[in-house]
Amino acid sequence: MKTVVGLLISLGLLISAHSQVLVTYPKLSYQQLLTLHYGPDSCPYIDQIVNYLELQQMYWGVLNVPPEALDNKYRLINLRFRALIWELRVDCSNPDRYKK
Amino acid sequence: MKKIATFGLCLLALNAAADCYLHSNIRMTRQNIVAGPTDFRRMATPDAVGSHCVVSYRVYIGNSWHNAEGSANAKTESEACMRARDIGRGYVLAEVEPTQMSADMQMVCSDAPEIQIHPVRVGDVIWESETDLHTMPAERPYFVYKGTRCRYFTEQASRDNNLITYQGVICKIDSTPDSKWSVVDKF
Repeated sequence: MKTVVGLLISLGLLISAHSQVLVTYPKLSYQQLLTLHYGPDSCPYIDQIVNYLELQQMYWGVLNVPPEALDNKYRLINLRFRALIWELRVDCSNPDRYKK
Repeated sequence: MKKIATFGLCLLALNAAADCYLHSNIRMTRQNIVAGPTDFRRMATPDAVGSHCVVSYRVYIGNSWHNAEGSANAKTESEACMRARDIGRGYVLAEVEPTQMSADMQMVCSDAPEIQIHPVRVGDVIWESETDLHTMPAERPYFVYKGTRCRYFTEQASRDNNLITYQGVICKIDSTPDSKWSVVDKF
């Protein structure tokens, strides 16, 4: 289910990127944020997904805010966004990282 | 005026106080090193053979970073320093209380600023061992991002009587062994 949600978003981003249509994405709820998940199949769309996640960070008012300046709720929301972004960056550039 | 001069001298004396470590006889082996060696700093001096090089660096053993040191002689400075970097020549330096010192102890002292873990901010240029490793061993290995070597770090902080853990990413500024690291993200 998580992968499906991630893929749907990726697909939407891909379509919007190719059709040059200005698409405004709604702000994700906290619950929706928790269900986001990206697998290796998301790697071809990494730039669009990172842009999307940073846009969501902006909606939540946590983009480029030092974590020390955020209260606990917003710190955890920011943590979730940044962790998703870095998971993607690390997994897509280092596919063998977790293989033994 | 005298008071100001005395105060200035006291400050100078405090700043000049060198950090001293006991030169242990603990030889290092690759097996007990969790991370590193890293943060190499070298000091080479001419000697009868050619050059004597002392390299100090940091290794993560157990649950913390430790200072270590190796030395070697060779005809050229670069060769001596390359040999001194060899883990097999290295010794862990142990912190020692001044009251525990005895005359036969071999001490290593340095006026260079001591490397310690401390809170960092995005954009800071630091030594790698100024941040702690990630608490989860699976997240500790280096990874490549935009062609540079990076790793996750964690930072413990206390806020409103709660212990919180920040995470972040540091990346090496260049590929040389003596390179510092840049804090690229913290969350």
